Amino acid sequence: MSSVNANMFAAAAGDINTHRRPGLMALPLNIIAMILAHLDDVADLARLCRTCRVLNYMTLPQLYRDLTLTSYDRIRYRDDVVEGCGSASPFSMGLSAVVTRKVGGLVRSMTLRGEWREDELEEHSRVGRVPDSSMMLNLVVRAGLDKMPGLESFSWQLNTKMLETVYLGLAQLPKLTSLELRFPSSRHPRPTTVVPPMPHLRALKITNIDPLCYPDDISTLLCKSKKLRELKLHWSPRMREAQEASVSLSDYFRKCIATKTKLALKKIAFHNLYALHREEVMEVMDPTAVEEVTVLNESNRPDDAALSFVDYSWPTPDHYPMRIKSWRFDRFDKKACEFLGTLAGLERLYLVNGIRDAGDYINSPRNLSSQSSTSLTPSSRESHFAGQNGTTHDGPPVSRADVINFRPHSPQPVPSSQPHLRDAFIQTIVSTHGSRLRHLLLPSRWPLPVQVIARLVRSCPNLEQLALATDISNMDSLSLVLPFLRKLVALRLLIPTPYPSTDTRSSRHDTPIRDAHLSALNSGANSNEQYSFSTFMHEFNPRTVAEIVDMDDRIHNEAMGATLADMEVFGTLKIVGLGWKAWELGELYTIPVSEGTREFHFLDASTIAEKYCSTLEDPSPSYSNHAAAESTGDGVTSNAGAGLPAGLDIPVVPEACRKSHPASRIWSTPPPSSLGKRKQPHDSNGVNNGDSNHNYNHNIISNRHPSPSSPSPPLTSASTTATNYHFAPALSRTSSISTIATAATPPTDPQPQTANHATPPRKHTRLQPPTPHPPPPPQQLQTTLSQFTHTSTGKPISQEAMAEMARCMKFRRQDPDGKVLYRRRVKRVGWDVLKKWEIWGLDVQEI
Amino acid sequence: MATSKQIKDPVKLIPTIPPSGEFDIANFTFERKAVERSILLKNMLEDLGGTNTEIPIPNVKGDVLLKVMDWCDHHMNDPPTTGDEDNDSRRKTTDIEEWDQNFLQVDQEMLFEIILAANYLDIKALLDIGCKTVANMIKGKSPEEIRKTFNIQNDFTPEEEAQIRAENEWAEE
Repeated sequence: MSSVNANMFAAAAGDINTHRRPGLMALPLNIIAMILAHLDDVADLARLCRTCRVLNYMTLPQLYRDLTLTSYDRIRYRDDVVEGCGSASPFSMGLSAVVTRKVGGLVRSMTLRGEWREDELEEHSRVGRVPDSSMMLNLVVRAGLDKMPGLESFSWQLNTKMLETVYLGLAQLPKLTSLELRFPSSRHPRPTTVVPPMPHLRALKITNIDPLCYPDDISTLLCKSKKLRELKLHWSPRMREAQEASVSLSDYFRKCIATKTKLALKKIAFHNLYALHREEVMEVMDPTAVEEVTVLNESNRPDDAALSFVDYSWPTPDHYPMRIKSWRFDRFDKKACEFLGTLAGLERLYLVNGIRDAGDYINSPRNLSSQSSTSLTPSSRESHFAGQNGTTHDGPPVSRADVINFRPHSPQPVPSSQPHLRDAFIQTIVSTHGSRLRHLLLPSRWPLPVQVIARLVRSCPNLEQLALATDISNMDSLSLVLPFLRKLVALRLLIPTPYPSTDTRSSRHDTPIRDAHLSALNSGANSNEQYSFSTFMHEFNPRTVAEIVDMDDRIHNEAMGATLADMEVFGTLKIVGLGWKAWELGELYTIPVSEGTREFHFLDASTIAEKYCSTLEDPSPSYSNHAAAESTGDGVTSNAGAGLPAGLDIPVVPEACRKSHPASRIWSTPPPSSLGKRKQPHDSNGVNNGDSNHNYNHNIISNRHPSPSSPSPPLTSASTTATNYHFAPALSRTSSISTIATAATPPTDPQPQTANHATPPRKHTRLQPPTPHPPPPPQQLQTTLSQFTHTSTGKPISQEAMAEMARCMKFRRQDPDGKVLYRRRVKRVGWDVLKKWEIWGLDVQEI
Repeated sequence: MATSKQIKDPVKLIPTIPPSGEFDIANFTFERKAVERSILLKNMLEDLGGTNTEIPIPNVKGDVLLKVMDWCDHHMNDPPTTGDEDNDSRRKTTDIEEWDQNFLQVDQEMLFEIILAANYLDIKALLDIGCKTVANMIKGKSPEEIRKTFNIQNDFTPEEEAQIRAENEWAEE
């Protein structure tokens, strides 16, 4: 402590003058503590611990607050050095520190995970003994637990079974509120423990339950843990795969049933439950207390399972008074639809897309290699000698390119019942839950035509988070429908996942889905019936959409920055997802028209010339001449009414106009519709806020629509300032996506701050310099285009894909004087951010 | 800079440690709204009443005070902090606005002086971004690099350091 400021807490400004060279240790300890509080990576904390005694002392509480120890069944190397060289494995040394050092009292959350090596397991099983290594592990963990009086959460995810000694230690902890256990996956005989009650337990999660793998008895725990409010049970999918109804919920609740104890559970989640219904189980729960229910099933035989008499032994509990606010499930059958119709007061509905093959990962923003797939427990006694066997599906693919290029081994017909079920579900949602719904996640297997989206929007005006699958060609129509969702904060557009039975890639441009849509849209009120689901799926090629999503992030950043700058329409939006990508939206800012991004040079030269001329000559709505001709003709019909009438109520561009020229499709942005448009915020045009020092070129217009939903990204600033903000790099050390996030638009050029903060206007770095006037020749365009590639595949982006992308972009937002263009700041975000948003975080088959 | 503008409601801050170089007290007149970003000064102004608008600042060097007030002037229209920012999600983020990043691109001595001044003057937002900036300087560095960057003397014996490294290696996986 000698190097700490002598009067550390009272040290005032100026004290560091006494040091010749100021250092961190010259700061008072309270400020050092504040600095350390901003370090969230345990690796940084661990390294800081090694710098000096004072920082070691100050950092240890933060380092050991959430202790996660991972065991590996092999020796690992890092930078050609063995992990734990000179001592033991990091797992063992971590446990050693807890037991032998005074750090146990600092631990609030402890997770043990990974593979624990058990030698001669078979021999031990044969003679009825627990391997010494496992027993020793349990003893050390128990010794550690005894030194953790402040432990609030404990998670055992090791592949070996937790033994009674640890259970007894947990039961004595005075603050333990959360417990997660992984039950064994092997059929080697092990002692079965009656899990003791834990008086303060509020959340219990148990995974990998298999009645044949010696699971522990949780009936006492459930009965006597009076504060339990959250119960998550996950069974091995083996039983469903084998159609083996060996699970009985009554067993888990038998002591509750015997003592007539009712569990006041608020959250219930069952994963892979395959059990016959027993009437007495329903008497255990207090149905009025349950608010959130999750029922998931991961099986590669969903259709068979759906017909199982086991599942159908469960009645629709419509005679119980239920107050479920959140319902999450992945089985889209008639029974589920009926149950959905019985739920009154539902606020959050998540229809999770089941994973059937690698192509289903297309919308997952998570790092594919880190995605989990649940292992089957052994299907026969012999199988465990060969270790754990397969999974319910082939597991997550290794790379995004594999997903994009994925083709099912055999033609995958679209289930004929799906359109009917989709419509039935939509009808139920619209008629039963509409105005109360705040969150809605629809599966990517249900690509929705615009008419259905319009219906949903009209019926569910209070949606804050919405995820649905639709065709990229519907984007312009979506922008006209979305303003009706005045509270929408998060929007996620999924790539439809059903694959056509034949490869339509080669013929895609011959049968553009948009034309199919348009013909359907033009067909009038009965288009819903005429435009069938199978037609939609037949003509739709998700690979093409995936390729558009896979484009260089700079293109997306620029496109979103321009398109989402309309604060009347998108003002409340804070996050937008497209396929597996997502962007956080920041403030509005302005750039001079002269610096405005001329739409990328992905079109032919004449189109660019046309675009330039139109923008320069007609600065107010910056349509192309071509597009203007369309928009002023009879091709565009915009509804000026205040609401969406039944049926189609969106601008319709005639097919002939759309087909005339790729460029005409791209820039045929309809004129601003008065449909549901909110008034422009009073000050969103007058961006200068009366401060003469502020330069209009770089004003930020704060988002005037406070979010009603959580979480709130720390993006918006309420200030009106004169300079650009940009986003710091994402923090997670686990998300690869976040670390490759591209710079927010526009990229900035940090300059050392001078005394005068009224910074001069900075020149924005753009994808294309703002001066290519006249446009470059076609050869140069090709060169420019080749700079952009698909992120995953590395292939150059085709002109067609760019054209499709550009068609969704709108560049018309300008201030009334026509001097500046509006842009929205956007930042690509990864799983670490998205997991906090329910429409992403809950769109996984995990409880 | 604050002094280059027309000041509607001026408050004069008098540093007892003048800045280096030429000293013009006129440069230390600031908009009241900017001064009130400091909770300490805001309370003093309220205690002093509306007439006295000269406040001596004893513990902050003049040039640091100018720098701090530069920040206050820029952020004087920010909404007041609610006190709810101490939750985990807020603390963990290191997003710093670009203007603030540029503002804090100063040498380490000035950075620490700004942090100390913000602490003394009770300007929470400035203190927060100052601490975030230092935290960002720590991230990704080895212990030796941290020591070099912040002039920290290693007071561990080699054996102690090896022991700490082994015990905490789980965090560096």
